Amino acid sequence: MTDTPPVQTPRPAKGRRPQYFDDPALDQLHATLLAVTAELSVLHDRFDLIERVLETKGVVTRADIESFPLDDAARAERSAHRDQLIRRLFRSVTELRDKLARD
Amino acid sequence: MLQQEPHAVLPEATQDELARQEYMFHLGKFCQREVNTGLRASYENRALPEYVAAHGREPADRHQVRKAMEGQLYYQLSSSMQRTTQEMLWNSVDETIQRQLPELIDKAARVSADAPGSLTLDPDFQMPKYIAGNDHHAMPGGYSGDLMPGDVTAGALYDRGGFIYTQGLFGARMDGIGKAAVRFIRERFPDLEPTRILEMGCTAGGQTIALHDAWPDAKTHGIDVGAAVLRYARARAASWGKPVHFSQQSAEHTRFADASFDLVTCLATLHETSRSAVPNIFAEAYRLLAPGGLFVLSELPPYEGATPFEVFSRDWDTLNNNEPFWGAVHELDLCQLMREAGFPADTVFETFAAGVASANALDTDVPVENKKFVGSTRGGGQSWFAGARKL
Repeated sequence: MTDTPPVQTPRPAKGRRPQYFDDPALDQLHATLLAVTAELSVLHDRFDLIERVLETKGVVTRADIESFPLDDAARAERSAHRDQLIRRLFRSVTELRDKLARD
Repeated sequence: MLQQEPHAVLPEATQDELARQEYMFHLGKFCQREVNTGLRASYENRALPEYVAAHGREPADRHQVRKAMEGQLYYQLSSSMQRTTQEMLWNSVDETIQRQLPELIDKAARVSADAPGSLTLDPDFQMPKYIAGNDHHAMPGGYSGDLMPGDVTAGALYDRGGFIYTQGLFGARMDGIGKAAVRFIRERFPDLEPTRILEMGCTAGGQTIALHDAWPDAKTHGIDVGAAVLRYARARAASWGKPVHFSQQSAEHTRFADASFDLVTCLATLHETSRSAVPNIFAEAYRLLAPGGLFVLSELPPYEGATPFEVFSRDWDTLNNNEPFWGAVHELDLCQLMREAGFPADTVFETFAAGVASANALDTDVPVENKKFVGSTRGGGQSWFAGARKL
């Protein structure tokens, strides 16, 4: 367990946040959905890390996982995975974009 | 993604935190390159015909384009996505900072002690309202946040979050704007060999270090309004052995004596101030320069000459990214304001020149088409510079 930091996060920013959709519930849902996509990517990276450690060491401890160094090739693979994940998640947006461009 | 160059107070992320930050880097890139690129078709093929049908004419300015776009699903989706991405980005970094804030504060104090350069804070400093009342670019706490004694949060958020936000465009040392300014000054004013340099609005000190690196024998000062950004700037510079002097002062009225500097810069700072602050900043720059001294500012380029749709696109941050002065500064005649501040008319200039992206061409993997941060309407990685000389 980690200690609770003195300043609670997330912190809001001062200033006006626009409402984008006609129904504010959609703004709420969209924000939550985007947050879920990030956690999905974080989870993927975590599994990726565990697999790499397992493959490399055979024996795993929490400290092994936390300190495992990622080389440039591994970082590049992750970058490509994230871009593809984003493309899959937001397929509906890019399809709408392409349809608008064809119209 | 490009890696940021480590220093003593760069917050250290856990594996999950780093994964989250790197995802925000990719999601931000996707918003800019894949999602926002669809706005033109949404406008030209949907919003514009609907607006013309209703009004019998095309939108005449960015405000009317916005009216036409606000009801479009694609605009709603893309803006909601970009705004939320921005919020998540800062949060992903803030979480890392808050988890280790006492250690960061301690590290900052230790690396700064006895290091060359200095830090001078003003316990009685009056925070300008345009900074205190708004968190620019939706960064929690803004430039003025000061959470506890010795706090460095605002500087750390700006340094690490800003690196992700700009997709590494400012370089591994977050000094691209400064390096671009140096290159511009050297090309246009080859006679200038400053021995006393002031950067107004230095934030985390990246550009101040670039100025110091260009003229290492000069005495270089950076001023800003936020104590936490300055403590961080000081520690960051000290960590790299840079003898830069940071102090908490408003660029509108500093404590420096008349004619204290040969070079005064104000880099990508004006749009974070206010309409009433700009003339004061220019007058102060004039007062602080010695005869022959140079004032240089870089800013997002004026909207003049762009179509209403282009202006609308470039103005997104005004209403959506907590940048209340963004649109207005683009419409100000900054050259005229420099003349009114006392600079001789024939020394006042404005021009495009090689900008941030080309300054870091060798150490960034970000292409120059990222127009928002290149700040150019002409492509080719150019930035907009203006300034004047005191005779």
